[in-house]
Amino acid sequence: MKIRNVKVPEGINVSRHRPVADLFVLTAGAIGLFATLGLLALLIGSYGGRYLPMSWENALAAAVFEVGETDEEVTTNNREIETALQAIADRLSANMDLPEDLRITVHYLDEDEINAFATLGGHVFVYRGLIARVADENALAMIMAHEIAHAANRDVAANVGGVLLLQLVLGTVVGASPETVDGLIWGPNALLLRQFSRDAETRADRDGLTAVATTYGHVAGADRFFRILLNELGESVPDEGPEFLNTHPLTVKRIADLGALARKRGWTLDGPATPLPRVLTALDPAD
Amino acid sequence: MEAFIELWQILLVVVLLILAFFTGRIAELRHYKSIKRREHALGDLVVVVAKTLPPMSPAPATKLVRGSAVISVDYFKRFLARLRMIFGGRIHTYESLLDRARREAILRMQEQAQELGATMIFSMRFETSSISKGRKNAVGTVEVLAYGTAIIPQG
Amino acid sequence: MITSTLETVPDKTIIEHLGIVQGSTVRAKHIGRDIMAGLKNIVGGELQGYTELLSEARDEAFERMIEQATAKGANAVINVRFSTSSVTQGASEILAYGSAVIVE
Repeated sequence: MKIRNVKVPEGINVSRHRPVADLFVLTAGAIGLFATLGLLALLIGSYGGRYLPMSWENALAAAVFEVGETDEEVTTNNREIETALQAIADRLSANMDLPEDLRITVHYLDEDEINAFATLGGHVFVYRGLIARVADENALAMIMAHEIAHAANRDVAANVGGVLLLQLVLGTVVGASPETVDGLIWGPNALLLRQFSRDAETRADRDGLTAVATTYGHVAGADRFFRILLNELGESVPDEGPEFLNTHPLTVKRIADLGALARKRGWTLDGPATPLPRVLTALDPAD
Repeated sequence: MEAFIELWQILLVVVLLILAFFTGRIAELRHYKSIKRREHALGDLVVVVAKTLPPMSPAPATKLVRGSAVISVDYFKRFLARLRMIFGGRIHTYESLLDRARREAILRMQEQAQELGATMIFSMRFETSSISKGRKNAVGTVEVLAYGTAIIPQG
Repeated sequence: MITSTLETVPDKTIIEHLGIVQGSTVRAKHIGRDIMAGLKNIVGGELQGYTELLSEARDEAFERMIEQATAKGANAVINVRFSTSSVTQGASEILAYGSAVIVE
């Protein structure tokens, strides 16, 4: 028996490949895969959120607001202001097509910001800065009707559903933290979600305007809010940027769209201005 | 500001990838060069997995010899491996890591045997373990142990 | 190519030992399989995806070992051993090694 060593050729246990080309192909593939998965999660989540029974959304909101209610600021704030705002909201929602279990509850936020927003369970928040800058009830009603329309269209639930599912999917697949996902959604690159929410904004505008026209008999002042917003933006944000970069459609375009809708439906653009309830006129933006 | 941080992080990854690609490649080429040189020098010391010795007279002395090596993979290869693991398939970048570790372990075992005056190693066994496994984000590192019985002719 | 885990090939004599031959590969399954396996872990049972992964990898490692033996001019590999290790989570490394010999 002979024993000798024979050399083995190289490269049997190491396969030939091009690492740099591999890197590019795999990176592109991974980004494509995760983007598709994320988009799918967002779409399915929003769809699911929108068609979730209203009672579920209410229960979820109740759980969330139970915690928030302990907040001193929310409870001690002027009940009178909230009652006045609630009266406006009730008048508007009576003329809107709300889901059966949806009750609109208005909250007042004592901060100088020209904004209002709707959250889960039909809770609508209105900032002092907004109320102080509107001259009459009609302008305030427009923005409130817009927010109520968001709640009625289940846009809030859709948003929450989409974000939650996205966080779940990206968290499981790539181990991304909820904060990272939030960064992706609200970051500068979230064009898709913006397109998504722009459609919801346009719809809420249309539904809001319809509610205002039915409630007050005219749409004067409905566009006044946007003109106020435009004025404010004219000072602080001179350039709104291209349309697709904004969550809300460009203000000028919104005014034009609302005017076109009013003309089409035969709603008059002038009519008597309804004065604001006294508790609301006393508010000072600089306070 | 947030966009700036994100961009900065991506840039850091790219810079690290480029740096690791070149340094890793140089380190690997150098290691392979050394492996080939030493394998050539130790070419006469045969390593066999079989256990039955050929009849020898006088009976040879035997001694356990072993060699081990811990090799780590660079940032570039690790990055590529992670991406590959999304899609599955052969992880090319780890193959050379293991090939190097195994050949280095054999060489060290052979060097030990050579010092003892052995002419061959019988009944060689491999043992591979990963010291980094389980720890998250740890460096991909393998330890290979080669051991066997050195046959030292007498007289 | 005769392959065996035995020391000898029955009915044949080993004329020449040619040294060690080895084949190895590192493989991973795609992420979907990993997630499914994670779910399966809850109820237990066979993880088909991973069984497949390891068996494919073993085939490849074995073939590479045979390739080395052929390159050495051997006609048999005796004392074949398999060894499995995992370099990172979700990937597995299979090694097959043995003694390349010429038998008659």
